[in-house]
Amino acid sequence: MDDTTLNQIVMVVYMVSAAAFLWTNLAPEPKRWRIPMGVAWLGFGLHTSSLIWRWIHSYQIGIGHAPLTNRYESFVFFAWSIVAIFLVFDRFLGLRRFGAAILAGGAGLIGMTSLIPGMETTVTPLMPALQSNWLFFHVVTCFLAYAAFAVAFFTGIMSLTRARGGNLTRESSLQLDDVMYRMIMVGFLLLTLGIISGSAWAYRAWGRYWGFDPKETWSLITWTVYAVFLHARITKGWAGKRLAVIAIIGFLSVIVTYWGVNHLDIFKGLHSYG
Amino acid sequence: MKSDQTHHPLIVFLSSTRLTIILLILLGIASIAGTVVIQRGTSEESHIQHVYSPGTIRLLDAIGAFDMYHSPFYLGLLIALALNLIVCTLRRLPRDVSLRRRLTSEGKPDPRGIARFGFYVTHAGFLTILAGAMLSGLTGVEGMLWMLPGETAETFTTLRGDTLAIGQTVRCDAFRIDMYENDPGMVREYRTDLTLTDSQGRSAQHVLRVNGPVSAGGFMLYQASYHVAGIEYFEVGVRSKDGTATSYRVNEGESFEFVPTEGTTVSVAVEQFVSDFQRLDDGRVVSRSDEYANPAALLSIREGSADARKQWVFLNFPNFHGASGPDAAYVFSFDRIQPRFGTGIQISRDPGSIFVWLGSVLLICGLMLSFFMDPSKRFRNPSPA
Repeated sequence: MDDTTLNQIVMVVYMVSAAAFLWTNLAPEPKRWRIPMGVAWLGFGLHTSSLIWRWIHSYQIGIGHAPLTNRYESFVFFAWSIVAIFLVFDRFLGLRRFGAAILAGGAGLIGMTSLIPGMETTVTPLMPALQSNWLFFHVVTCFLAYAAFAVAFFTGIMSLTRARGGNLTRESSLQLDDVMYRMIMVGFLLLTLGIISGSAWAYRAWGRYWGFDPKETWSLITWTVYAVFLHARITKGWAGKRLAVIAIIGFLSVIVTYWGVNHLDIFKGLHSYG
Repeated sequence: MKSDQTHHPLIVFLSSTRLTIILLILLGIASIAGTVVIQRGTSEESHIQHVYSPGTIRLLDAIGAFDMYHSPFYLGLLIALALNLIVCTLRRLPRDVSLRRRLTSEGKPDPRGIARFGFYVTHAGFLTILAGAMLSGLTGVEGMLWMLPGETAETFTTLRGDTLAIGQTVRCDAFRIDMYENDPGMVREYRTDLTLTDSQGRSAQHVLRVNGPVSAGGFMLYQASYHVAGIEYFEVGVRSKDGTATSYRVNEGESFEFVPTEGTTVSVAVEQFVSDFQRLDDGRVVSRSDEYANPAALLSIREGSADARKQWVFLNFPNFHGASGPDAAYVFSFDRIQPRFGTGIQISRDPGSIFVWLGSVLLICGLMLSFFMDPSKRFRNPSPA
């Protein structure tokens, strides 16, 4: 048993939780929610343990760094971030309504590590540019931001599909809007911290705080999309489907920022790891 | 602003959030274009000409797409965004001041007032970042110091071509590239040992690493790169018929000796080295290029008192043994070239950076004020679903 096997177990637990959320959605009542939430918390506990385990293990084999540095670790941590954001903000925003999609998303991210060819799962040593105290703060803030934007994305999809299906009352539309907006507020703050910490780190490592490399530029593009969202919402009072579209475009930008710039041939740059 | 001016349609438009959104969208599209179009700063001209047709190059050049982020269009968008923000702020300020006065009339600050104040902090931060970036662009300098151990530098040439005095004498004492023991292909550390001497002759030693910059004069030094400056040593291998193999370190012009299992001492000298072996029609050997495409060494082999025989060994062809037959008592191979590495230090100064950090702090504080101080925006328990 190692941390990669534990992650597979976590994926299964998240899938069970997602199924349980679907079941609860059919006849939602307070006591029923405890089952999928309980399973989600169980999965999250195991997931957190696997991260800690991997972290400790890296020191045991003489490498020594947080599990945030290669492709495998980033997928696993992204999944953790989504579930973490879900569990933390459920009490404030009633996110459990979206539990099925969100937990399925978390399971899916872990599942992708098995499906993507050439995914290196071993703990790899850090190249000199990554050996920095900034690594933890920069990576964590960025992934928590991505996670918040992912929740907003699910909410946006729901807003669009259920609006089209016609079973969206004015009240539930406002609630969806509310969740989407507040998740983007959280994500925007985290992303701003992520970009700034990335710049501070770049200044220390490379002597310039901004170089417009594809990763940096796309993180700014993502930031710009959500800035448009906030200005449209706060100042112009946009609501409903129009905002949902921006939230969805924003998450597409997140995917390009996280995955696209590293793996698509049209982009190249300094940042092509993690 | 005079009240009769504030409702002029042009002012209203220039201060509007609609303009902000338009500008942000244009900025996003321009930024995306810069990641898709090859940028001159990070690519060779030949690569650009390889990818794009001459007509496309002319078109993209006309709109500044090859240096998108310094193009007039991009900078113009940023300036327009700043102006939009300034005009909007000036229009909104009188209303917010009087609102604030009304809200704090009971002597206690109203959270709504504090939250509205967040707008000013956020956007002051944004403007400060833009100002810092502009200052960096206008007054920042950057150059490279390529040094071998033992070399010193007192000046450097900036990217713009000016030569600046560092203010201290930088001496490279040593440079090493260390690999990971368990992952030999991976670099663990680039490290330059420096001695900095000021104008009064006081010296201090520093270690320069990636993520560990060193300040020198008014500048910062960064461990940025390395270069190959010649060869530290070769390794020539000898494998005897019984299979035992030994590697010997030697330089061009030097020799080593070994004693084969049977026979007298053999002396091997490295007479010549070429990095890219090519034999011309007249039999001469030359290096086709400066690249290490086909490194080869000419060995001069003397057994006891016999005449020397010569043999070329090739780094890329370890099984090519020239005229030696399968019964040879020993065969030679070219095992390794150890390059001599010199350090590549980036030296730069960026007066704008301090404003970028200051603006960043303001931006974060402003966001926190706006998002988490406003009761109407505050997170609250959801109504029963």
